[in-house]
Amino acid sequence: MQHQTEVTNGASVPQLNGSSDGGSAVTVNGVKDETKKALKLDPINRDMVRLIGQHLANLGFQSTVEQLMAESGCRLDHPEARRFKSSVVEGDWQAAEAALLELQSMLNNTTHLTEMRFLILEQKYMELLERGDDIGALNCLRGEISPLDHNISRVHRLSSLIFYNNPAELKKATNWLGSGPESHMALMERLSAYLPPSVMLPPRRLERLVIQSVQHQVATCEFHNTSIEPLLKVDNLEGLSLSDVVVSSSCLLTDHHCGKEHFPSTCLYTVTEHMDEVLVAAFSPNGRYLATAGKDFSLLIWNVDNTTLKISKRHCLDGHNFSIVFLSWSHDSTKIIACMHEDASELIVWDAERGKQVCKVSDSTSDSLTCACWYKDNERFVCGGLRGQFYLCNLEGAVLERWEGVRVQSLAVHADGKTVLASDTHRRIRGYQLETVQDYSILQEDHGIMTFSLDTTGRFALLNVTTQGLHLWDLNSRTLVRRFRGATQKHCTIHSCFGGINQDFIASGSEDHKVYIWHRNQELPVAVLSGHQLPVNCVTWNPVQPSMLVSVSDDRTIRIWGPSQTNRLNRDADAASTSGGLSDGDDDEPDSPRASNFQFPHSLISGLDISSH
Amino acid sequence: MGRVYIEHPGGSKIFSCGECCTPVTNRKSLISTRFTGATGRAFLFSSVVNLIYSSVQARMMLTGRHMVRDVSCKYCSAKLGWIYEFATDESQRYKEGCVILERALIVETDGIEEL
Repeated sequence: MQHQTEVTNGASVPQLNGSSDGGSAVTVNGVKDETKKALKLDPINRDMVRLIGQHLANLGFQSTVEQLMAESGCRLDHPEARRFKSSVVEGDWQAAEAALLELQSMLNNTTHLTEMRFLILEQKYMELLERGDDIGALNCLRGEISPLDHNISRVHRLSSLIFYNNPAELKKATNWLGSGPESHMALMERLSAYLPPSVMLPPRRLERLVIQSVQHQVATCEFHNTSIEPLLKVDNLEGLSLSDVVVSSSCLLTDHHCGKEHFPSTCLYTVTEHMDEVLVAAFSPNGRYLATAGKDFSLLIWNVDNTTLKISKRHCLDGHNFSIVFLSWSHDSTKIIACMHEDASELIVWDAERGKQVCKVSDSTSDSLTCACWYKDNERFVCGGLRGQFYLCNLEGAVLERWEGVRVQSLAVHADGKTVLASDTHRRIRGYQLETVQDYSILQEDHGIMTFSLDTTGRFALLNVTTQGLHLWDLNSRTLVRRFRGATQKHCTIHSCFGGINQDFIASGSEDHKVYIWHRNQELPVAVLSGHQLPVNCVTWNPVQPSMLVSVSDDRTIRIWGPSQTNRLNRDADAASTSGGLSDGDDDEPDSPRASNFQFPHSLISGLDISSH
Repeated sequence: MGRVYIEHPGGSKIFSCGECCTPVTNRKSLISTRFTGATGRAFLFSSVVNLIYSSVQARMMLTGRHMVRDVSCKYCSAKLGWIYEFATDESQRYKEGCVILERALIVETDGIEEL
């Protein structure tokens, strides 16, 4: 035993430097013969050694790999498979076929053999065509491909390709890469899918496993709110290498675990400008303005500084005679609609930059227009209310279309820009196209839908369902994805929103005076923020500054939430000391004890280009 | 109290709270008109919205002993009637889960044509 360790630790180094093959290898083998039998590996470890060997071989450590294989008694690939692979890569189709026939016994399925042969012959045929060798191609088609009696429709398609005059047209018509190493590698990848892993290892398998594990760590990271660390939503790993996905090696050495550096966890400051209960708040889509409104009949527009997270008053818009209960920003952040209480019978559209009224919509005195949303063209909007009004209006306040027969409680515009999603008193959400007078059902709930909002992709809808919590629905498949528990909402209308980078978080107000934040994948909240003294009516998350959250409440205050002071100081200090480099995580914050820290300036917003270091 | 969440029962004839006109129920849910409350006539409805329920009390009524909860408007807290939770008599079981609203305390209006 000791003898063996001596050889590997001590003597193996000079051996590699000198001549690691020939003579000394014999000695090594001789010495190790007895010990080789001692290294009996169970199947799992054998596969582990093969994976490690494959990774080392990809990096270029050929002699190490040979020694590893000798020592462990495993082999990377079956020798026939290796021969097969090299002949495919070179384009030597005959040798490839021969090697394939040798491998025949090891395939799982006899149809696989035919499919592989078909693929090889298909490539051969295409290459002959490209070269202009029509006779050869025809012979191949007739004599080799057709007898296979496989995928006849494809054979017919192939035979039609003979009519193409030049290779360029041929390539365009079939999306084929042309003959050459790239195309051969692609073919090899497709063929390797048919070979069982004991015969030939899937390419770059160890890297794939590590990428999957890193993605899993990020997916379970509760406060993950940065675009910096590993890409999370990569489905197709085919073209990716490890260095594309994992930015810093600290992710491999310790489990990825975000602290709260980018997560809103403390109340940065409170603003008391409103004279009465504040009912709604909304950030503009460009993140530069914040609008708040409530029972004091005034709509306040604030400028938002995304670096210092401070807000300053821009406009105080009066002209409402009733409390404002709903706000809707246009998609270009220039205009905002203020909808009022049921008894108001009108709504006002404001120009947010200049602070002037654009128009009013007041069709009749018995109307109630309590919710609204904009079309993507920012010229027209839809509004509706509990008394059955459902109008499409333009910027002059004229009603263009009317839809009768539905009492609308909340509105949002569909991803296509022109269909409107409306929740109504029958506890449904339906889609409406007011111009073409079409509608369709999307989902039905068992309890009243108070409000709902869509995420930026337009695929998911977050519903505030009275007494039941928040429901996340997938609108494409019309299924309920998840319910979020914790918040109380029985009596009052509470608003919720998506937030964070990639909209991974969900926040909601609650009647128990707290702000609740959930991660999209978990039912229970990751953070519960206290501070308000009365029910929190609405929360809104800054779309361009993912660590800033605003909540408004019956206690007349607006609270701005962001990362705690120490977290931000750490983040900023580290950024000032090193620019882009990885400094070691000297964080004395109790809730982020790990060494993985992200040292980037806090003026960073999503869409950062990750520079190498 | 923030913006109180009000549902709407729909239907062609709507009964609402007499004080604040918050819609409570409609003709479709009407089961019987032959009831009497403190203020006179009362109707029995099968489904209601926008009401708050008090704690349960035992009451002796003309028809027997029942467990009831008082029912008030969610918006203005005006007392409107009661809900039968439990009936001791087998013959009175049909009332369980239904709400009595006193005719003098509610108003009837027209609804809109709904899809």
